[in-house]
Formats: sequence, structure tokens, C-alpha cells
Amino acid sequence: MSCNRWQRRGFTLIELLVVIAIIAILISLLLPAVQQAREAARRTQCRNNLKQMGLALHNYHDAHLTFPAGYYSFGTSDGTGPAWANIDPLTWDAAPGWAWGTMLLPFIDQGNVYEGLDVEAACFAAENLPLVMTKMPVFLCPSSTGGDDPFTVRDELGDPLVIDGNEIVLGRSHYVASHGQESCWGECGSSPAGVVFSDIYTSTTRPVAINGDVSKVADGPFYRNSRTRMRDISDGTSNTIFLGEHSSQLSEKTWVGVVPGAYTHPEFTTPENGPDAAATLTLIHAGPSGGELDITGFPIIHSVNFPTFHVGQMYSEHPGGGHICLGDGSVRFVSENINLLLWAELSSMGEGEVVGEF
Amino acid sequence: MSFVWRRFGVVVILFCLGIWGCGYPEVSPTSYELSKALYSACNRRSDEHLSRVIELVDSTQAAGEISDRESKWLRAIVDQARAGDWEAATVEARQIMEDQVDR
Repeated sequence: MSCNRWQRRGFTLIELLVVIAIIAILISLLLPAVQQAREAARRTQCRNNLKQMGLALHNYHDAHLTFPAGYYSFGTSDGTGPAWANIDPLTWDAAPGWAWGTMLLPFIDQGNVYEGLDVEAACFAAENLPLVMTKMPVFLCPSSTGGDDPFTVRDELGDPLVIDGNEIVLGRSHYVASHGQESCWGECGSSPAGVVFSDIYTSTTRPVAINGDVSKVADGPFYRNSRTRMRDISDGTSNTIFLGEHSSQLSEKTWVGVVPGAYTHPEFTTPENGPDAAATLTLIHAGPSGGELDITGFPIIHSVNFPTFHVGQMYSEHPGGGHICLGDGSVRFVSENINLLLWAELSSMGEGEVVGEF
Repeated sequence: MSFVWRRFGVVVILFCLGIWGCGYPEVSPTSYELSKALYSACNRRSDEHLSRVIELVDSTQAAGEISDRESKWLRAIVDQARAGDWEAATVEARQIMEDQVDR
């Protein structure tokens, strides 16, 4: 009698397979929903990070009557200067190199780190090396898969850059500041003259004298030694991109600063992307720049996630687009298929363009 | 016999998966430039820009700079855009460029 009872308690193979199949179907139905919920949480965190930085920028402006520079560099108009400035002969980038991210530290509850840094010295000076590799969660987007840890700064060939016998390891950032439509880094930073777009709708250009003053080219809020004030943003703060995302999956960015002689390298290759100059450790631009046109004569504009995957563009791993922080401190999610001209209009701060809805 | 047919079926399914799963193969530099321009044209929904792209597809194909297969892909996207499906055409032009990653 008891033996029969034991036999009835067992499962047949078919029953077991049916149960497994039902569980598998339920998991396959549930898993995408769980992943979506997790991505929504990561997106909220990312949005919050940018919001904190947007507020910090405004607090900085209140305290200093100007927004922080894209990065600070010894000013030279002929490529010469004292030895401590460590001027890169190719770009004229120089010490101290501190970028907008470092300047925001006291305004994002990281005053202790800021106090520990010697901002009078270079960001790559030996005394600053222990602290510049600090991992700052506010500068990290949880959706970025390329890594959160500090990284070693590289030279043009991709080898570790060595200054005064030290390799430089910098804390990572998944956020970048906007240089505007035009870019003036690399050789542009040391050029006597260049070309800028005077009208992106008709692809009209005009020549400009530069001589180390990149403000002659840059039309966004952050560039080398920028001193952008609220009144300079004549296109309107709610129509001007200040900050955005750049995932480590594409290239390494930092909150710390710009190291003369450094290069940013793409982590994957496409027919067009390649290493770019040191300023792209903290800055990006939207295009068009330098009078460059595509094969049909249209100005080259690269919006967020543009499939040329330049290290000098915005790049997010959130599905469908990325976050931007506007000059008024608001944070918006923009589609990766945003109208290219609209993206360019949003990137400049004083070109006088009428910005449509986005 | 049924075993043979079953095996044939498996081969057909794997072949189809291979075709659909791999996206666009490596394209020539000119085709890449054209797909970039095509993306811009579709993104802006510009008929004028689209006409310029198709002119270049014609001339570069005649000059042997792009293959017949690449020309076919680009023309298919242009046709999609001209039919008014700008969004799908934008996505397709983007796909050509995205599929060149690490090639």
C-alpha cells in the first residue's frame, strides 16, 4: 500500500518537460520587462548625474561670475613659455590642464578632493597623481559598459604617456562638455589661421586668425581657457547644449583635465574614427567644423551616437539616444536621429539660429 | 527520404539566419561616404540632397568606385525615402555605417 503511494508521487518525463517549458516561457516574457526596468533605473541615475552637474555649473557661475573653462592652459600666442608649462608644440596645450569637471568638485560635494589637489600645479604633476585617479560616481553613467575604473593616459601611438618619469592615471568620466559646432583642438590650437562656418545652411565659410586663441573658432560654451558668462549665451540657455554623454565603450574621458601630448583613442574602429587630440579627454563638438563637407557638399554634423563614432562626439549606450544638459540646467533625452541641423543649432551659443522643437 | 528533407530544411534555415543575422558586409570607402551622405539626406528629409546622392551613386558606379551590389543597397534606401518612408531609410543608412564597426 505504502509502495503504491510512493509511485504516484513521481513525475513523468513529459510532465517535467512541460513544467520546464512553461517556466522558460514565463522567464522569456519576464526578462525583457526586468531589463527595461533596470535600464530605466540606470537612465534615471544618469539623468540625475547630469542634473547635479548642471546645478553645479550654475553655482559655479554664481560664485565666479563665469562658467568654468573647458580646461585651463598656460596662455601663449607663439608656442613658447616657461618649462613648468610643459607646452605641447603641436597643440600649444599646456599646464595646468584642469578641466571643468575638477572646477565643479566643490559644488558636487567633493570639496575634500578639491582641497587635496594642488590646482596651482599641473593636473599631471607628481603631487596630484594620487588624487586625480579618484573614482567619482557622479561622473559615471551606470549604462556605460566600457569601464568605470581610472585609465592610463596614452600618446598618439597608444602607448602610456610619460611625463617626468610618471605614467598618468586619471579618474574616468562618462560626461563631456560641448565645444560647440566648431572644434579647435589639436593643430588648430597652434595655427595662425583657420576657417569657420559663417552659415551652416548654405555651407558658407570665412577665414579667421587664431594664433593660439581658440575662442576665435569655438562657438560653444566650453573650450581652452573659456570664460563664458550667462550673457554670452545669446541663443538662450535653454537652447544651448552644455554637457552630454560619452560612454567608455567608445573612448576614455576624464573629469580631471587635459594632459599636453595626450590622445584619445577609439576602443573600436570604423572607417572614420581614430585618435584625437588631448582636448577630447574632456570636450566634444557637434560639427560642422573647419569648413568640412561630406561627399555631397553638406556640412558634416555628428549628433549623439552618430555612426561615424568619432571620439570627439557624444555617445551614449542608452537605447535610442542620449542625455544632454542644457545651459539652463535642465536635462533632456534626445533621439539619436535628431535633425542634424537642429543638433548643430543647439550646440552653438551665439550664432543667432532659431532653434525648433526637440 | 524524410531525413534528407529534414536536413535540407535545417540548412535552409541556417542559411536564412546567416543572411539576416549578419547585416551589411564591408563596403568600399566611397560607399561609406555615400551612406553617410544618405543618412544626412534622410535625416533632414531633403529631396534635393537625396537627388545629389543618387547622382553620385550613378557616377561612382559608372567609374567602378562602388560595386553593383553596394549601388543596389544605396538605391533601395533612396527608393524607400522617395516613397515617403524617411524614418526607415534613415535607419537603414545608419545600419550600413554601423555594420562597418571593427571591419
